[in-house]
Amino acid sequence: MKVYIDSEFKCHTENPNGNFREVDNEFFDGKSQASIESYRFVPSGEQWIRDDGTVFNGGGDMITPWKDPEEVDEDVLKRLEDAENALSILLGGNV
Amino acid sequence: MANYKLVNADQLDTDLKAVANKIREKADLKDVLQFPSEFIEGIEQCSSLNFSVVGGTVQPGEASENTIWVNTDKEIRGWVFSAAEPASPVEGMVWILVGDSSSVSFNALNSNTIQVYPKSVKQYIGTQWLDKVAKSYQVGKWVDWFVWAGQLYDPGNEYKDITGGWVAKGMKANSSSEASAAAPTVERTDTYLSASNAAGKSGIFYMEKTINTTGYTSIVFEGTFVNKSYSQNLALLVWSKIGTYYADNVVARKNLGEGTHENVELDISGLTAGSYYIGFAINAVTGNGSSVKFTKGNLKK
Repeated sequence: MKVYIDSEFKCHTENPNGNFREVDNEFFDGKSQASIESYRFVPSGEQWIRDDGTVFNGGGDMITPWKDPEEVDEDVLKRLEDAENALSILLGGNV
Repeated sequence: MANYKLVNADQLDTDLKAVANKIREKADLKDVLQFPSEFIEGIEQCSSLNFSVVGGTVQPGEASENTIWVNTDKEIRGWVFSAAEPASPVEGMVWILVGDSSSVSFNALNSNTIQVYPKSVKQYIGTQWLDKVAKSYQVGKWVDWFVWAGQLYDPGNEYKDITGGWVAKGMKANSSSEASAAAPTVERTDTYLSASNAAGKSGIFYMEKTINTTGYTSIVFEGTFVNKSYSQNLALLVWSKIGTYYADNVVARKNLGEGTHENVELDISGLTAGSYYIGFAINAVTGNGSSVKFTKGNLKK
């Protein structure tokens, strides 16, 4: 399955601005969007430096979670709450 | 076990009886633990306990089975087994931290079973819990308490109490994989552990028990890893469970591409807290066989 990786090697299911790189790996076959986007894919031969300075490089692809796929995106949650509040006002509190 | 306060040995019988009654109240244990009246009587007489706790700065000679010696120059005034810090400590109290594995686990009772997994010891001195060294007398000798710090393998030591030991199993990558399932050939020495598969053979080499990776950020193996097949066919894998094919239930992986690699490290800092199976896929589809040979393996914080 084709996915897209950003500059931090985080995976995305879409490439809206064309800035992400495409990778094709069967690891992502059958996975949900939330699951895919919880992964980091560091291609073989490339280097990723973790926040603590640990260097991961070479050898082969590394595919590993960077967050819990069940974790709720705080931005999305806030936008959802704002939308619900706006809808409630429009419908006179009948939401 | 209930978190209760032990003041002195005379209080012991009363406290243990209270613990037993609390256990009896729990519905899920009523059918599991049988408490005949003689058990309660035994508690009152302290005759049902299968261990003792002693202090001192000189390791005792021979002792009763499951004697716990705490290396301390402070009088031990009561002890408690608990996974959580005791709420109301008294000066001299010994807190024996318990977990779900131990190098000195024992049955605390002479009849019936309460299996205890001691991990480490602290003593309340002044206003602090201070670490103490402890040993247990088991099967005729004093045994050190091993504190696991993420070790998966050291020369000649598979840390079987934690890992269950390394096992080999024939397994294909998926249903369309070319290679036939074959358990890797394992070699155990005093200096390394290795597993290999010949061309056309596919299997996994992994630790039989799940490993709790909570709080760790990497899995590291030092050694030599030789892949003479396709790039994804030799890999360090983390599974949520072992399935039918080794690609099933993988939550993290580090592929070891064609060629020879010295050491491998897989980031697990984003892995959800919990326990996982860890091991290697050795799938030698083409060319000569592939192998893993490591002298050390550990989780890293």
